[in-house]
Parts: sequence; C-alpha cells; structure tokens
Amino acid sequence: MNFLSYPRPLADLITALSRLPGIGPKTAGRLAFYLLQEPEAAEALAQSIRAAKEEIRQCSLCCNFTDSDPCALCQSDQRDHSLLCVVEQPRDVAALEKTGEYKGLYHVLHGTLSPMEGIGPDQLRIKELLGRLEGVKEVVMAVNPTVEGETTALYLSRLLKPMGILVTRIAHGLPVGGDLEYADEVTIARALEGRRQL
Amino acid sequence: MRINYLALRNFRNYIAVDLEFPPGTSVFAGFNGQGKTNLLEGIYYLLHGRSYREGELIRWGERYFHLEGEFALGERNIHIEAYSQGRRKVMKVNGSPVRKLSEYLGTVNAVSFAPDDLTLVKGGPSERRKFLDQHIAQIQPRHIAILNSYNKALQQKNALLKTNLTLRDKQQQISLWNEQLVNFGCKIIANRMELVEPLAQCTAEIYSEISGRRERFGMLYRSLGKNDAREAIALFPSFLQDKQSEEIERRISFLGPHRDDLYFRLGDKPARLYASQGQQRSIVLSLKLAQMRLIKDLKSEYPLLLLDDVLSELDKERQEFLLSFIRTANIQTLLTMTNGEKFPGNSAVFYVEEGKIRRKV
Repeated sequence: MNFLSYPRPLADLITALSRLPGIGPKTAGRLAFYLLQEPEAAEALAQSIRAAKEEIRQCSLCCNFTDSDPCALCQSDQRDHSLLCVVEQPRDVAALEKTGEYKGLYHVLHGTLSPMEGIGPDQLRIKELLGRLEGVKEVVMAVNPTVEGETTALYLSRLLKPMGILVTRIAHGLPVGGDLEYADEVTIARALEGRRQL
Repeated sequence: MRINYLALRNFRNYIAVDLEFPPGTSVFAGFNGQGKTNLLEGIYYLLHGRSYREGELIRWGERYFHLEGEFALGERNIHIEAYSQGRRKVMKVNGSPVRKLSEYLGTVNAVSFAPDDLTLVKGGPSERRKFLDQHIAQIQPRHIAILNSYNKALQQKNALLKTNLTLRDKQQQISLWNEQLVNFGCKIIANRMELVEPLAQCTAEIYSEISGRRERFGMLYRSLGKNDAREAIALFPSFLQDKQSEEIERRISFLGPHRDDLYFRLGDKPARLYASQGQQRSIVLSLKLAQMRLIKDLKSEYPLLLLDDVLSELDKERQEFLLSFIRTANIQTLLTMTNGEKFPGNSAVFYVEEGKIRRKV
C-alpha cells in the first residue's frame, strides 16, 4: 500500500513522526500504527507532549529547559556560583551532571556559530550569558571539538577575557577504558598535544 | 601490492566474472565499450573504497553490485569485499566490515594512468592540489582531517561573507574564522612544503631519463603566490587581515592554501602553456612513476599499476622506457589495449568482449 493512499490523518501522523530526529519513514509508520491500535498509549503520549510543551520553558539564567524559573540548579546554594560551564545543548548538561564531579552552574547556548545555517551570535544565548557574569570567576568551555564548536569558544573567550574572567577549555583526549590502538589518528594526535607531566 | 583474484557481480557491464591474475604484466584487449576500463575500475574500487569515475556502478536493471578480490601485501594475503546495500556501500577486509579502508591499507594502493590524467598538466590547479594532497595523505594520514577542517571553516567564512550582516558584525566574526583558517591552513602548507620536495626530485630524475637527458623538468609548490612556502606561512595571518575589506566587498574568500598551485616547468617555460602533447604525457608518466617509487620507499613494496589505454599514446621510446621500468622493478601491471595493437612481450593476454573475459592460451 502506498503511503499517499493512507487516510489523510494517518498520512499526516506518519509525516509528523518522521520529522523527529532518528526516525525514518518506516519507523514512523510502525509507530503510527501502534498508536492507532493502543488508544490509551496514544492519549497518554499526546497529553505528556502537551504538558511538556506548556510547562517546560527556558531558565532565564542558564537557558536550560526547566519547569520552574530560575531552574533548580541555578537556585541551588550547594553549587559554586562563581563557576560557569558553557555547553551547546541542554542534553550536554545532563551528560556533565551524570559525572557528579562538576559543582558549578551551566549556561546553554542552544547551538554554535554557523553562518551556513544562518546562526550568528544573536541567535545563540550569548546576551543572556553576558548578563549573568557578576561574581563569576571562571568560565569553562565544554563545546564539542568541531570547527564550529572551537570557533564559538574562541568568540566567547574574546568577549570574556577582557572582563578579567578566567576562560578554560575541557581537554581533548582518549576515552577512558578504551584501547589506544582503536582510537582514530586525529584523537590520538590531539591527546598527544594535550599531554601532561606525570 | 599484488592482486591474485577478482570476482565481479553486476558491476557496470559485467554480470559475473571470475579472474585469476598472474604476477607481472596482464593485457586486457578488446574493442571500445566492452568493459576494459570497468575491470580496472573494479580493482581500484576494492583498494580505495571509491571510484575515480562518475556514473552508476550497478549493472543496468540490477539491484546491487558485489566485488571481491584477493590481494597480497608483503607476505600477507588480504581479502577485500565491496558491495552495495540499498544506497549504502559496504567494505569488508578479511570478513570484517571496515569504515575507513585507508586506516588499513593507506590511501594509495594502486596508481592508475588514463588519458584523462593529462589534465594534471593542462588543467587547473585543483587537479594538481588533489594529486599532491592524496600523495601527502599516504605519508601523513592526518592531512585529510586537517584539509576537511580547513574546508569546513572556509565554507563557514564564505557563508558569512554572503550574509547581509552589518560591516561591523562581519568584521568581528570573520576574524574568528580567519583564526581557524590560519590554524589549519599553516599545517596544510607545511605538509605540502615538506613532502613536495622528494616528489619533485624523483619526478625530475625520471623525466630526465625518459627524455634521454635532453630536457629538464621542474616542479614548484607556490603557496599564497609565494615561491617560498615558509614565507607564505609567516605572512598568512597578516595577508588575511590586509585583504579583509576586499573579501567583504567581493563576498568571497580568495586567499589561502585552497588556491595554491603546483607549477610544472620544462626548462624555463611553464609546462601548462608550452608542453607539447608528447611532453605532457611524459610529465604525467614521470609523476605517476615517481609516486610509485616513493610509495615503494615507504612501504617497501610497489602499488599495483593500472594503465588504461595509454601505452598506444606513447611513442616508441617512452613505451620502451615504461615497459623496462615495469620489468626491472617487477611491478604487477594491468593494462588495457585495443584489439590489433602489438602486446608487450612476456605478458598474459585476456580478451574482453561484451562483459566476458577469456584468457588467451
């Protein structure tokens, strides 16, 4: 059966699902049929999508997703408010939080500089960052090691350094527990460049 | 690198062909359009994970292609498989899927020489840069990653130059991408500078032999319009600074190693403008043989040599030079010829006809 010969609402549902990241047309079709066969699951999903959309917004300080403004992290007095960690995406905050090592606050840029996609400084949450620097001593750049990520870090460091703030960058290197032999040559070369005295 | 065995399925005009190759020289003879070049292409594909030609690899009306070959590198036998799975292409080495074939085999395992290669002399600088960069990647595998990063930063900068931002915003952001261009670009120039030297020397020696020591060939890497690449590296940052307003006005970044060239000279004259057809062929032949020799120095083994329809284009002296080079160095060579030409001595002969291949007994 051809996709276009599905009833209109079903075809629309498949199209909407296949726009989600990581979901192709086939998976979208499977999900759509599942939802039709399980009306309760469909209702619950619809409700939670609506609730998430209505209740979650961006924290006015760190720009991470939150249901209370400022978010729990930004309000916490357990955290070091003089230390900020800049990340590209909200999911990067979750990755860093999993370590349990980091005690400072975050700032989510929601992207990197990328003129090809029409993203300049004004499209990122940079104004928000500049507005919350009072009392901040160090800003850690935890952007991805891509050309765009590095360029964004460079841009921010040019803004922040003249303000007397210490700007640092997380290290590039080998995955822990990984085999040197299986790492690609670019990673190994970067790790060599960043070697430290024992 | 040697090839022992090749199997083609639904590749270009072949339905199913299984071939065993003797060491030394094999000639594939046939009229045009019978599949001689497709055969060489299949071998090249297995060794590099990609083709050097455009067009559909899957036989007309079929849904997949499958290539399989057994090669020998030193004492080791390597079994390589390549096939299409829907739109995806899969490569396997000794039965295990591999993502980047070059990590296992290096970037140049077969050197091919076809009539189109004359663009190395006559064509624009991009062909020559590509040849040089591919050669460098063989010795310095990181070169490719650096080129990719450079090109990414360049694309971003060009996109920025084409936006309608205010002059002040553009100036501020261009300097960021420029810093990345300098960072990666200087490494590119340094690699090219270092590795062009042995290539130039070896090519000049071979050219001199081919021309019976009557002509002198020279090769010069020119970066940012400078004959001395060290000077180019030192000046790159200030050049970008100086040309910034011109780049903004013209909305394109025209300065950097992506515009570099490799200049070929015969005597004192630029080869691109003054070399005759015969001289152009000699230059390309010298370049390819020099590449073979340098790979031999690096890996202590010659790559495969694939000669597509070029032997007949060389005059008698050059033919003899090439054939004696192959014989002396004991290089496994596969060459295609049109029916009726005189085949080189001591070679195995195969006839190619409508996608079928049979060995002459």
